[in-house]
Amino acid sequence: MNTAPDSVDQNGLTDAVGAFFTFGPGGTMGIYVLTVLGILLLAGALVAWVHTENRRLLEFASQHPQSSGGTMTSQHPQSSGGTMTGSEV
Amino acid sequence: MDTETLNTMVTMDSKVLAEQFYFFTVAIMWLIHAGFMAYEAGIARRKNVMATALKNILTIAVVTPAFYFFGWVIYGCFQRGFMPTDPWGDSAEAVFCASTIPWGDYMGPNLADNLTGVFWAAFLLFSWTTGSILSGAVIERIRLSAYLILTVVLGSIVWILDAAWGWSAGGWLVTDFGFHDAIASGVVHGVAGIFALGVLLQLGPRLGRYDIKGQMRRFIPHNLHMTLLGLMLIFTGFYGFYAACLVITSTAFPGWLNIYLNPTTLSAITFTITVGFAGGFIGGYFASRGDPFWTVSGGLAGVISVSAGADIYHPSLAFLLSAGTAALVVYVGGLIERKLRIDDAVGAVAVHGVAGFLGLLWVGIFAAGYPTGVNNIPSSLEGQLIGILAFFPLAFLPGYIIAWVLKKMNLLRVPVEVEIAGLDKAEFGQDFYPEYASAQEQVIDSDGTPVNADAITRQAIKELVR
Repeated sequence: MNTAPDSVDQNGLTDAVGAFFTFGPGGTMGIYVLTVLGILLLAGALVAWVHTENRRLLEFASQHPQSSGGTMTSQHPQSSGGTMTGSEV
Repeated sequence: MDTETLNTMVTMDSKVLAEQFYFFTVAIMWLIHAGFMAYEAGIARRKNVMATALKNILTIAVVTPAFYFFGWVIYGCFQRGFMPTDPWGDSAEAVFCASTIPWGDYMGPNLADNLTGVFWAAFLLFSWTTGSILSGAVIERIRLSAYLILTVVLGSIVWILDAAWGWSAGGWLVTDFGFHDAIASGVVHGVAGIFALGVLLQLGPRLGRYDIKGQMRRFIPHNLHMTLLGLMLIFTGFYGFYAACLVITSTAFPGWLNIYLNPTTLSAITFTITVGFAGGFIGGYFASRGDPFWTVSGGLAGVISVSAGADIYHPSLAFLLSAGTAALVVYVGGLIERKLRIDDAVGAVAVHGVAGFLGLLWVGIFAAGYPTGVNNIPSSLEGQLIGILAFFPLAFLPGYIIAWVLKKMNLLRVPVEVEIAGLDKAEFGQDFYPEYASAQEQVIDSDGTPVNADAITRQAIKELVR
């Protein structure tokens, strides 16, 4: 059911809204810039995740050496899984 | 009202109905992700609960933008192989490819396009599912950041490339070989399970998981009820997943179509999914002698195994296949853990990887001759095998190689001190179950007796240092 007053130009409204979208419709400089910025944010977040987590984990490991009897290195000697022997756990 | 006006209105109604349909399948599919979170958090030991849950939630944070910027355009433009389609051509493939470019007209607000956003979101939810499959397998020792990198690759590149090849009307596996995987047995589940296998081989087992003789110990889930509830949520969400795999725009196509644009019905796949769960529970229950985890995981394996042919299987066939596959998956799951000593915390390789690829095989055997795709190429065992041969390395190698690189950089696994103390204390600085802080954690030793977890840890450390 169309409840718009008769005086409202629906087609005109559609055109006006369609022309607005933030930074314009697709394929414009504004959208290119936004896309690049979005990709940079994602990549930056992943790199930052690696760095901050690495720092936090190593800090925790250095503060809890007693957990491993004080003779461990902070990194686990990672195995190849499929060829794991009991001595590697 | 003249015919032209009526036609315009009906077309608009059809588009809006399709838009609503996919929107609500997306909402239902969120339950899959909520379910995976509960499933994995329940399996985790108390000291790793929050890290496990948050890892799952953060899948959404990274896979969503990655799938927007890269994933969808891979699906749209790489259906013929590794070489992209020219988006400036006039063919239907070129038009679709152009519509998936993130800076194009369709990947944002567009009053002339009601469907791209909801289609994209439905595929995005499938992407999250692949990430969640990996997430469960690697809990309690992988770094959050390593997981996020791996899940971006799996959820935004690997699975969607195989979907472009074998889960689209224009994919080369479909148009040239009649490959048929209607509801994504192999494309989503199989590929994610095998990717997880590649990662697990590099990651290694959790500390104390195997004794000095290589016998497996069993870690007790901190909350098996949460795990079972999680699985039930996944099952509920699967109905949205199944429905979203169909195509419905009544003015463009007559009635329901599968992903290859062959006619089917929502009713047909409803038979299969529901019977598939039932058969899977039965197979899982009897093969595991009533083990609750494997009984319910059997339901998942069962439905995954019949998803590839869900649009064409008779329910009785789906029942038999799902029960048989679930039983086999329980056996293979044990083999992977006990004989191959791969510590897959949730059985993802067996439940998703093995059941997914078996699902592809079952179509080649039980649905051979079905005219798949717009070219009506008959499905065949050969076609399915070609698909398996294409998907297996595509899934395994990226997981294995990227995990290897991260391992070499000491960025794959948490330090052993963190693994002993628990990821929650290291990542968040707190125990999220302080009321149970004094409770002693137990591990089931290889001879079946419960033993103190601290003793096992001390023994494992001794072996590490030696």
